[in-house]
Amino acid sequence: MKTFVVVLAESDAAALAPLRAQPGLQAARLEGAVWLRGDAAEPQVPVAVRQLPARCRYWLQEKDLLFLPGALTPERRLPVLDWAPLTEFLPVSLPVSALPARLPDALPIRLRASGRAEKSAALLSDWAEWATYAHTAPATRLLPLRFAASARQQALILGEPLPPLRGREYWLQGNLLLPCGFDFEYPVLAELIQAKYLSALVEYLLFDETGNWEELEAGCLVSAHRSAIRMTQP
Amino acid sequence: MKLTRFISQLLEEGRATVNGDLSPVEPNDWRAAKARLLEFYEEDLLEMPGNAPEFDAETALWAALYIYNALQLTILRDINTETVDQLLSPGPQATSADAVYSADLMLRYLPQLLGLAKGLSPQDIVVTKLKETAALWPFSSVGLETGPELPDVQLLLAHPSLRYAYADRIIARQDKSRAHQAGVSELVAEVLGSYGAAFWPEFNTLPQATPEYGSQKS
Repeated sequence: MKTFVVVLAESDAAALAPLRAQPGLQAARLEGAVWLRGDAAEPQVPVAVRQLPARCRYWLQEKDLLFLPGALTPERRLPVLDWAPLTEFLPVSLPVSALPARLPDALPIRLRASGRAEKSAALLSDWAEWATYAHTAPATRLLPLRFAASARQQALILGEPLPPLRGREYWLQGNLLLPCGFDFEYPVLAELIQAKYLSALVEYLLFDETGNWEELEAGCLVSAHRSAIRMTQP
Repeated sequence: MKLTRFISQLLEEGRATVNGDLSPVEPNDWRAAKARLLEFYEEDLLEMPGNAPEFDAETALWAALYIYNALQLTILRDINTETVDQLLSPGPQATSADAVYSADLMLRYLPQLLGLAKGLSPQDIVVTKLKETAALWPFSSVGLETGPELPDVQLLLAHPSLRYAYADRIIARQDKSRAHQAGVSELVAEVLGSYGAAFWPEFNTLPQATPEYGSQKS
């Protein structure tokens, strides 16, 4: 076995990368050059070493003398170097993330005025008005309705026909209650919102004109029996 | 406590059990039955439109016993006519809204009772008595054929609560003959409003009310 020594310009140090996994190779830096050494049976220096963009190639012999290939006299003496295995000489780092430079902004949910006429499916009214109506209304008119009470003293009434009361009317898109006269700025959002926010626990989403919404939990809407309305204290 | 048990079972389970015991109701049974009927009245008035009529205990108890006796007589077929007359006596008159509503707490089961008696002959004394009672208490007999003439319903129409409750029953049971009655057809039309096609599609195709029906007969 003989020891070979290869000298490269420091700017070509990256060319050593393919050799990093080969055992027995050591490298060191000195005055703008990279020195590489390893053992090989002359003249069978590994192909990968022979492919390096070397400035000089030597065989190392006794007393640290360096011989050019085929020369009978030494060319120079091996300087004193701080040798390190290639795995230390060429440390690795994690690649940078492949994410794009800038994430797209979240798409805001906004409603806009719509020219499409939709049938009213719900009414948000004052609780006192609803209770007064239900006190005397025929049961025939209450039977098809469901209602929920809010802590803001409001009643949300669903069904058909809706009671003739003042309030905000809503139309139903799937299980989304949108104010009459409004639709999503991007109508495709309706399906996505339903898929994301509706569940076995959330039955409806009640939107206001600004695009904010309230969740209506399953079971909070009850049949509009007169007794149920009379016994409800919002 | 046979009457109280009967009332409670009917109200709570929607079914009733009677036996062949025709003995009079005991005083403590009357008291308990009255309390149970008052309790039911307080529950039921929550469903009545507006302010329901007051509780008339005497009429409510009569109606409860009437239904109890009628059910017994539907099953016991070997009772003589005099006993049937006695057990199914007409009782109080439907002369006030209080009486009408209090009697209805139990007389509302008349249609089911007549359905139970369907297997009997139409001329059977019990069936005849039940039909007579149905004609006298029109609020409780919506949906039943009560005879060639429609009952007088002025008392019902004059009371704001019974009025709408009566219309609700006519619409729910789609009683065309009652809806056809003068004074009632306007009320039913008022309740249906523009939604007759949804609630009762056939209502608008009924013939117009004529004055010879009901109490407006001159």
